[in-house]
Amino acid sequence: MVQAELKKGTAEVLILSLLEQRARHGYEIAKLIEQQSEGVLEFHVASLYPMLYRLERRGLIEGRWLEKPGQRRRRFYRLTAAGRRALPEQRKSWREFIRAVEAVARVENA
Amino acid sequence: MPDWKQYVRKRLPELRVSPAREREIVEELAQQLEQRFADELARGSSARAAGEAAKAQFADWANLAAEIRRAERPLAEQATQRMPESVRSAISEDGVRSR
Repeated sequence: MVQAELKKGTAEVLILSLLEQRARHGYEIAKLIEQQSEGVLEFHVASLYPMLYRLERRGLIEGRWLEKPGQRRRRFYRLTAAGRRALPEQRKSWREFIRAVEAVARVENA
Repeated sequence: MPDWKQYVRKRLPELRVSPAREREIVEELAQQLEQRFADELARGSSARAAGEAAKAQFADWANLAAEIRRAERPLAEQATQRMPESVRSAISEDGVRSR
């Protein structure tokens, strides 16, 4: 299992992507990153919450306390309109980055 | 069940945000600890091991507080902090001076 510390840019696109479908709370976000990457990516929880607060400050996500029946209230985050607009551009940047890395890696192995 | 809110309050340094916002952050971090604790117990861990696993998520409280303070700063202040010192010193408190 490869564990890589997630850098700020990586973390942003992952968080925004996970919130695209529905609102989620912090614990679920960290778990999903690990599960959906099959353990390759592990989000250090201590980085997660400052990142969520930064994204909220920038207006890309919005946190709201929700109380479901029989449960304690939890803070759920959802994408704002600005977040939905920002996500395609972030994904595009990542695709370009990955292509660039692959291009260099192939060249070195030739 | 450990009192995770109390645990966070004792360890998290001052955040320099409003009291209401600080309470929210403490509650959220406490829930992260509580959920991890519950998950570990559900996996069959002992209470002690579950507690250790939960606490290990936040090893450096000073750094966490510093990161939260940075994240909670107004955007304009965050932007100026990223500028070179020479530019920051040219900006007055009221805004950019014209030359």
